[in-house]
Amino acid sequence: MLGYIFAGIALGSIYAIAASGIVITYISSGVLNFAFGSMAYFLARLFYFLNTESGWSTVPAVIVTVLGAAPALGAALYLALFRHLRLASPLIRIVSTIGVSVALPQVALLLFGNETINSAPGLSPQPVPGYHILGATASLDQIIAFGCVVLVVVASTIVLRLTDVGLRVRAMVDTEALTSLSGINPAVISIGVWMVTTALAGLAGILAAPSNGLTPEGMTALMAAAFAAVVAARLRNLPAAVGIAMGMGILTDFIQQYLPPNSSLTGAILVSIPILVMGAFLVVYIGFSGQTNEAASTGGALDRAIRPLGSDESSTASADKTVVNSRSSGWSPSMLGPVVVIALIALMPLLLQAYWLTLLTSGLAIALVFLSYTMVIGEGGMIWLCQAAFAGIGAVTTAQLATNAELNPIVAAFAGALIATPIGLIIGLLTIRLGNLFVALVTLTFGLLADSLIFTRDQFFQQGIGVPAYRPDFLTGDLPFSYFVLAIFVVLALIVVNVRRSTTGLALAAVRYSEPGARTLGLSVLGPKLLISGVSTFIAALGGGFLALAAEVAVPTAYSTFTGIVWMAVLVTIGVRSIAAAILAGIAYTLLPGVFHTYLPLSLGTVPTLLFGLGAILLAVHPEGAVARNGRRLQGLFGKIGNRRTPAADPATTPTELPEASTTR
Amino acid sequence: MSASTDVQPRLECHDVTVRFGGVVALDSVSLAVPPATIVGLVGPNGAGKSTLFSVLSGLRRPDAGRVEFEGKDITSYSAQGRARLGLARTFQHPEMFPGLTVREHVMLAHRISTKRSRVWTDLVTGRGFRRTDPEEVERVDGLLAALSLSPIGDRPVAGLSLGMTRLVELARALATNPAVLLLDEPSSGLDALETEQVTRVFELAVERRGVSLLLVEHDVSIVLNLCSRIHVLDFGVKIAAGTPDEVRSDAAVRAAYLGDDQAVGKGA
Amino acid sequence: MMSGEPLLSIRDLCVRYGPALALDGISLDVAEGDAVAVLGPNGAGKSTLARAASRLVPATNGTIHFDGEDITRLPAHQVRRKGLIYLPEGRGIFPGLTVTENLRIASSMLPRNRRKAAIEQGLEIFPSLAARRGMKAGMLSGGEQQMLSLSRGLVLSPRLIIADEMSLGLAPKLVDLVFESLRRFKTAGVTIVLIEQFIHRALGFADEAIILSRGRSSWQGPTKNAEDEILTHYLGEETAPAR
Repeated sequence: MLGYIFAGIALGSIYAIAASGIVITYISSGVLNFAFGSMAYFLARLFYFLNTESGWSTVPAVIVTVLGAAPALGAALYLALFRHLRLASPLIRIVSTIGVSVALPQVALLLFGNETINSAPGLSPQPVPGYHILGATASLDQIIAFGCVVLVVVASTIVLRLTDVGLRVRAMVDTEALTSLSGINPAVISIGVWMVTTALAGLAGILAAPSNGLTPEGMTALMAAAFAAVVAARLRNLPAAVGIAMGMGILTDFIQQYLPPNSSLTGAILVSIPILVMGAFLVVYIGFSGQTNEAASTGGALDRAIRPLGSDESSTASADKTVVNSRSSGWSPSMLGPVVVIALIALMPLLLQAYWLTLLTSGLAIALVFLSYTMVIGEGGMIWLCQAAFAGIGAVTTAQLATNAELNPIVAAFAGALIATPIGLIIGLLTIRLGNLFVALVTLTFGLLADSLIFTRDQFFQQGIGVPAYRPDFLTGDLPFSYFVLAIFVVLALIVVNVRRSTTGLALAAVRYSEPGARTLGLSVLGPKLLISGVSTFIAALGGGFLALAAEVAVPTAYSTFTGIVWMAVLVTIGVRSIAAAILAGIAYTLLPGVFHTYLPLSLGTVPTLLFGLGAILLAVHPEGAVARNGRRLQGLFGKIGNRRTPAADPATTPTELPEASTTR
Repeated sequence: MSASTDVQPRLECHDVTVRFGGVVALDSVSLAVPPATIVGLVGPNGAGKSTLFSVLSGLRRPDAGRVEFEGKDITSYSAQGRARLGLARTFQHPEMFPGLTVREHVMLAHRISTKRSRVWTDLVTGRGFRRTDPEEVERVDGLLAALSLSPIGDRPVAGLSLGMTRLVELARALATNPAVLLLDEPSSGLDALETEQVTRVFELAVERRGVSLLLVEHDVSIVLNLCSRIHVLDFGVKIAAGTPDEVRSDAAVRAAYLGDDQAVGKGA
Repeated sequence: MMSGEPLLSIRDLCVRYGPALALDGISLDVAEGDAVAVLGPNGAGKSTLARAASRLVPATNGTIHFDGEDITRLPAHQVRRKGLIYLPEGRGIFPGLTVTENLRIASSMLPRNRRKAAIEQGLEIFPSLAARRGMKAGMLSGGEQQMLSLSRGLVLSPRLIIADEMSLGLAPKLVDLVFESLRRFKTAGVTIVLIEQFIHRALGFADEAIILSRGRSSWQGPTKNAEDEILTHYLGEETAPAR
């Protein structure tokens, strides 16, 4: 009993250190650091490299990692990336931190090699000594973890409450503009905060390594649990975050003793505890306040007053310029781009050899899933991080219905999509009044829950082999199947384009840009948002079904939320509002690794993922995405050739006449 | 219900009170907007004008009091519901849809007021791929031309000057065929020429379409010139109401604006 | 008042907020020890002028000199260190910090041994602040918040104060108090730029005035005997403001 509590305290301590790092960066910079887990992994891997692989003793290795490398990494990331995010749109903030979380582990793999490390030594000497306390055993690692959290809490309380430095940090949390008006350079404080919180990430990573192992996924999952505490503390309350984190750790290990060991259900339940905690708190917050909007609570009135007008929208607005013309009905030059791209891709199956054709086929299937991001993020402006879970539900259902119920696989894929759609509608309904960040967090929670509760079920998982999903007879070959998927893509793309160009699309855009503006025109917010939720979920799940048919097996781990986040980073990098971008991103996602695999040394195998991550990071500087940027140049060219429009002149005359109203009241 | 006077006001509010925490932002404010007239609402900074606008347009619920539209109690109506009845508004900081073009702003507003169902039916009918309804094109073009916006019709609103943006917001509001239009500081940030342009549109809207306007404005000269009746708020209390001449000579109004000592005690 | 170079000198200042041109070619000289009132209706550009002078917002055109030095490109915190203080509209305080901490932040540029005395001095100016020294500034009443903002300014013995709508939303008695304290600054030789909506009070206080209208200066000159002209410009009793 007590032994479980000790383990729980140790786990809670790690959560608490991570949670405090995340809260501190959020309140001081407004950035919710989705890359915290990756930072922890990178630094823990560096510690392992120094300590275990290079034979340094523990103390210098810790000092170099936590007090040297970590602050340097934090400062570098601040200067290169985070300082640009202050005025960025919520989507760009989320995606570029996700970019860091994708890229950083790849850098570690390049630097330190990519062996799997299931358990790494922590800070205590090996073998880990144990101490008997009140009749139960506590390992030195557990005691150190607890010691560290006490140290962090005491030190940060002293610094924040009693020192001038702490006062300046708290002042900047209140209002940055007034801080600079008080003669203090806010950039210096920001850089300091990032250095400290990155050190906390390193510490959390090193402490977690003995029990959690050293894998990017494992570390990300652990830090996702820390996010639960952060959300429960409403992103801003540091003591609450630490307290809830500790409680969650203890609760997890307390429950563990009542569950059968070595059962997959036990594992699933343990992993889901923090997620359930997060879900419960969110439901309570939503239930009590009706809405949760993080934007209202950052900065002071003065900070808002000096922010350039419309800076929040400027990034999305510039991304929109490409599609501006396409919304007017009929043919327009901007439709040429996607048509040409799709036509060129349609030639590829005829030219490619078997290996490449297989890659292309799954790339096309992923492009279907990408269209769901185009719909929900690009059209709806809702940052959903659970599209992979929908795809997984589609894939798993398709395999079950096709293999166990012997349904036609194509029918099964559509049935899977129909089954997933209500889930999307429910999530849409739950998140309708939430701010962007909370929408992202709720959907992330759902995705992680699906990962741990649904996708680990033996019925779907089959010890990692998955359930076979054979293609129908007439589509067995990759060639016909690739054309079939392409045809589906075209149909779904037409649906997306129709939504965009119709009144529905106009209404959605209006709601996305300005809710007060839309509502006072008589537009309701609920309908368009729900519609997008449903349609995008349907598309994601259908794409998942076809992805399973492309692989001829539905392996649930292929649809992990983490994978989905990488997908999103790739698509947003290439362009989240463009059909051409969706199909190019899908193909790049499978073909690029294939190219590296085939033509370049094995050690560079991680480079494509690194590139995807870096691309997402670059969004902080170029928020519109690659295809949008270059597409507009091309389109501008076509536009000039096509119709020489008269240059728009600002009217300077005073209006003289107004047509009468169409209906008299 | 209110005593039926000779003319039924389009928009009225009775004893509207709003509190923010302990602060009373509006204290029993009543006013009426008769058909086809311009009513002004003025007062120093922080007097509660914008709050009253939020209450009238349905973005905020009053703690007490009621709002009526053509005699019907609409206090519990949402902003959407009021817009559908014929209540439109503009904002001090224009609430635009930056990625949409000028024409799309007007077109969307027009469709919402005439063919609301198209928000849904377009999905099934594949309307996005077909030519636009000629009658709609005519109406939208007419409105754009009237406000001299035709040359920039296909430009996205992001990047337009503030003056142009305000004209587009006006065009968008007029496209919903409103009976009452609430204007929140329509001339702030505009130069003299642009101000002249928007005020001309106000007069046209009243003359040609019989729209009623309620105007919040800091530029006192605009209010004095345009409005037939003016209400003055100070610290959430209505301190005066009347014709421009009456308001101009009202001692309490001058005190509230100039900060003279006579203001002490008013509304306390 | 004094001959020679003005303490603050603004030339052809233009500021753009996104699509809006908030200031369009403003020039203004403030001599050391003078009090200048910046008047004009809401949206005329008064606060923008103050924010540009304190370098919170960038100038798109024009120059700003303080004490003979070009500060047009200096970051805000360095401008503050030169002794130009901006007391922003709507309470220039940190609501999450206590009264004492607000003063500590303000005094953090002083040498360590002088800070304590400066903080005590800041608390003494307004007795009601001293009584609430441990309270979060956000919990103070509006008047007390303005007092705190003022005493934050005083802690550092500034050379120039830009006070932005200090009387906004205050009852007349508190407005009196605010002006009284500003007068104390002025007597102590501090140069003051006053942004005010209550023009009679502002004119009673200032030596010079500038009236802004839609981002431009519509009138500029000494306040003595100019009241009627100013009223005309301000209340717009003529239909179109003269350009």
